[in-house]
Amino acid sequence: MKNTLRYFALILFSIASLFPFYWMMITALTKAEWITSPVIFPIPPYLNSFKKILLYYPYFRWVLNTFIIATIGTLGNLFFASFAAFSFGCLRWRFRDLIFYLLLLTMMLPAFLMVIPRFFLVVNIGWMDTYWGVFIPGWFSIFSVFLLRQYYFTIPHEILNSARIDGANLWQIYWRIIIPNSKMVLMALFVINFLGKWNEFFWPLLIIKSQKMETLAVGVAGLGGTIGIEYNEIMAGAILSMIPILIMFIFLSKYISKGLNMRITF
Amino acid sequence: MGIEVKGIKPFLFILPILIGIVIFGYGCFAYVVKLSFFKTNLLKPPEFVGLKNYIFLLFESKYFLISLKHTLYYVLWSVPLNLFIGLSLGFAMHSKIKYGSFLRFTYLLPWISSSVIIALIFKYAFNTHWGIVNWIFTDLLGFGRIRWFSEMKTAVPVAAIMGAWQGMGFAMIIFLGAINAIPKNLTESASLEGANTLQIIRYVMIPLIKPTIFFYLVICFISAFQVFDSVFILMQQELGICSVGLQGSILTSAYFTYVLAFEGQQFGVAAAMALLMFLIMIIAILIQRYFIGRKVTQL
Repeated sequence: MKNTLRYFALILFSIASLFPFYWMMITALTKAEWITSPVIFPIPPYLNSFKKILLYYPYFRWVLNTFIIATIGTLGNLFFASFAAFSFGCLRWRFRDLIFYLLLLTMMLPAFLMVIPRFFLVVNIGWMDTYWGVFIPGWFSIFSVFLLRQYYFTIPHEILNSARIDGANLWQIYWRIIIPNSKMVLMALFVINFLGKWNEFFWPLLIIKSQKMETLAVGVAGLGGTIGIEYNEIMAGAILSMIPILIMFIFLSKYISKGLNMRITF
Repeated sequence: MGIEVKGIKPFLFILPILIGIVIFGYGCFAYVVKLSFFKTNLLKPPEFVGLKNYIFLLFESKYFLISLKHTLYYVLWSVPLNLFIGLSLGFAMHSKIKYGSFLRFTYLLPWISSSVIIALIFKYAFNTHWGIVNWIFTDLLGFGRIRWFSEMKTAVPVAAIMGAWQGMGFAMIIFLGAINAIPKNLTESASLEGANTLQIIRYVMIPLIKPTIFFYLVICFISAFQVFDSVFILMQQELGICSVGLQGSILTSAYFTYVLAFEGQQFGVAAAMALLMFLIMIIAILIQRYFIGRKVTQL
């Protein structure tokens, strides 16, 4: 009896979770005039909405833009973060903890507060409507440093010390010992950061001004406000924009749950 | 802890992030504080106005209070919904079940999709004329058509349901982690004493995962308090990528800040608004900490 209830709840939740996606697909596959009452599956499926999105909007350009922004944004973030985390987690020096906690304080500053000054900064440097303007402000996140530092604490110090005695310099220790030992963690952080940057909407919306430079999220949001567009086309655009991330999710879900767990159990 | 290193070398490793955070963190924070005392748009040079921006927001503009009210309403809908869904999913998923990984996949699917897509789906599902929700309400159940997005009372719950729907996988993973960390012998001995499942959940599990619940409440509050993406898409005009601004049915604080800055070009007022919001958020978190955090540490 208690398991029946449990499965009932689980199935109900998974229907609730999948139904909007199903409905999105049905809408995309139905001709706009037909949609007065919903159908289980439209016969014949209407594919013109997908065709129209691919033909009239720079969909592949949007995918490329998003890919560039998310990849370089995440790589830069992890690169600087693992650098700093190595110093904060594996080395001992004066003022180490003081500097770390001073930097950690910036985690308290919420995004909406930093948007206006960062926007001014980007305008003044002249990075409007460029990739730089979108991903560089996201490079410097103390949160990634924090997570990696927690992990680097767990690397046995005997290894580091013996490498030191054998004459390795700091760069060699970092590159030959720390990085190979934290591949899994770096990968998990990469996937979870990448996901966040791929879906980011507000910041690219402010920086990107031309349609060719838009990311998928901004481009698809723009579809929702285009004159003369039918909602089945908007839904088709939404589905198309989900495909890349869905592929990633299916192949890398191991890293996603690991990265999520890292974020939660810091 | 760590290997002892003298000299400048360890400092060189943190230099990139130090420079970045000094510019994009502290520098930007200092700049937004400064900006809140100035009147400026991108074309004119800033002009010092003292506390005028704050006075305008607190005493002259009615939208400040409206936006707080809407944000509070959103938080009151969103946080309990998120907590309830996350906890029930966590309890339902915690021991071995069939098709567990498939179910996990379905719950995480909304979380990996961008809030833009989700807001677009909901915008059309709740459309007055041909949305599926109104189809169920009118054609199947025989009620009148509800104009979901015409007033705050109905639009905010829709936005909150949307947020909870998107966040359920994330909440599930948080609670699942906490529930799985509970020692098995505690629940087993409770069930040997004759407690049923609901009693075990109520009297054994919930007290043990209270710190996680508190932690989740705080992050849930923080994200609900600054909800923006979904509100922006829901309030988007049919022409071009701009919003209906102050005329829309939902005006949360983060959205109001956006409208002030990027649609009204009143960057000084927007900076003041963002700072006031930040202050309110900090106070609210301290209050939560005081009331709930105390109970947590008593355990």
